[in-house]
Amino acid sequence: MGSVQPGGRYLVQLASGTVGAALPTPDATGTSNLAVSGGKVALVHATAALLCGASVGSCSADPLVTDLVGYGSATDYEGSGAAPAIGNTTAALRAGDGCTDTDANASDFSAAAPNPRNSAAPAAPCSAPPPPSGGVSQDAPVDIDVDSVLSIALERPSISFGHAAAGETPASVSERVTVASNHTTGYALTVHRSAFVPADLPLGLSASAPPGGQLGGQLAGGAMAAIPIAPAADLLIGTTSAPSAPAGDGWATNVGFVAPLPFVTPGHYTATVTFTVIGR
Amino acid sequence: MTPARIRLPLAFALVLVPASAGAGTSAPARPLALTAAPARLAFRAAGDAAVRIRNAGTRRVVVEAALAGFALDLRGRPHVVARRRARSAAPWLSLRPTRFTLAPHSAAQLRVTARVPLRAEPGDHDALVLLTTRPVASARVSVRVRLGVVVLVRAPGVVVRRLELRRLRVARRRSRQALELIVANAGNVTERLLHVHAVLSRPSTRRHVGTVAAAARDLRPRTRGLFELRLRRRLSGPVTAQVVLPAAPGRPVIRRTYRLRL
Repeated sequence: MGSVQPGGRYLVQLASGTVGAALPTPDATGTSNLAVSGGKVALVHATAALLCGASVGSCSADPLVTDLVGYGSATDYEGSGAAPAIGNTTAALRAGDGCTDTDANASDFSAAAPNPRNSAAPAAPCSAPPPPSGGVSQDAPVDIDVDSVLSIALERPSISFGHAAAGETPASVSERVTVASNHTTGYALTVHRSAFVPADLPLGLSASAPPGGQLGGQLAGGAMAAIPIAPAADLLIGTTSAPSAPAGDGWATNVGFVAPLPFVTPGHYTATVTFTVIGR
Repeated sequence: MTPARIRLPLAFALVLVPASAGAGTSAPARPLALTAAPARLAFRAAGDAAVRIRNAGTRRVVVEAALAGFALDLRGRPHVVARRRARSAAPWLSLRPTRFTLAPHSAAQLRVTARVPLRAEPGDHDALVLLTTRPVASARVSVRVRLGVVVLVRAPGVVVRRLELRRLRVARRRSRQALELIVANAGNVTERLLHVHAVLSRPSTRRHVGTVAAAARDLRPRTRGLFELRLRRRLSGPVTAQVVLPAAPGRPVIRRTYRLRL
């Protein structure tokens, strides 16, 4: 039982005859005698003996088996066939310098001259291409801090309701607000306004929430709510509890009037609406 | 809360409206679009940090920066409050510059400086940097945007972490059931509460009938928060709810059992 570092090797020496080249210092030893004609070797994350192996797929389906190779005449293996048979002068070597693993022993392994390596051998992580043979390589760590981002975009920088008379309720105008936030706890979108000059008018807003958003209570069911005048507390348009979509969350709002225009002096009336977004 | 660290950000504005990453589509150009990165700053005592502000819209925009107080309501929704409320860091912060003009698709840096007074109460204090665009002159109803960058300043001293599970009650809405849990942060630092959940079982048989969880959120010091745990399916009758606040660095797991009738 032991541990293997990423890209590292772990050499287990089993029973041996009296001929053959010496192995590098093994990381562990055992007494099993692997047959030349065929056999199975399994990597497991438990110490209990395996009860599988009598039929094809029995061990590869065992949740305790991390990896399995059956070679030669083995009765169990990964994929549709066993790895090639080996002999006194050949070993079953995994392709890609040990990195190829398609769960198919027949194609992942080939019989070749042994190349035993222990944990002292240089690591060769499979996520990076192996260094060219005869070349020299050096790791260079790379890191980056990705910041939290908050953005807000509007469809229109100004809204005009055209001409209307006292007693009329002008049609609403759409104002799509797009908010993007990569913060895990989401954000809140609110709105307030200034009073109309020269006299206030009953401006309101209705909205619908994007997927994952929750509409503020006063806007539930598509209701149009009065937009408060600062310094009164903002009207909550909605909140989210997770990062937005990559392109931003689209809050479809409509700015309009919650009541018919009052009987005010004719003239040009102006106000400012402010949409605010704050991370939670 | 993750340990604060002053850093000069590589401000990748990951979402630049309209320069968004879609599968073969591009977002429409917006006349007014403002981005701030980072959107949260954290200081340990004194320090400086830069916020990169970008005009991703198609119009020139004037941005004004100002400090404000910050609070989360019971449900964790942020809002602007008075600068000089309790535990506000706004009086300790300064901004430079406070006004700048951005051409379309250009950016500027706002420098935020924190100076904590000697006798400041230990623990976390917060504030908002509000970035507000100037409204279009002569427009009938002018529309402007305001971004709030949250600033947390940790004043030096003894850190006290103390969370308390308070009331758990059943909330009945028209179409759904939920449990509402009140958690109090009696400590002096902000706690980020992830994976708050309750395991429900029948008190007589101890049979498990469901597990409900709340969305992640921050809980500021000396405040209470309401966590809503929504039931996926309708349940009725008596239940035992074991509420769990998972462990975090510097804080053990907290459990409390409640008896309810759904």
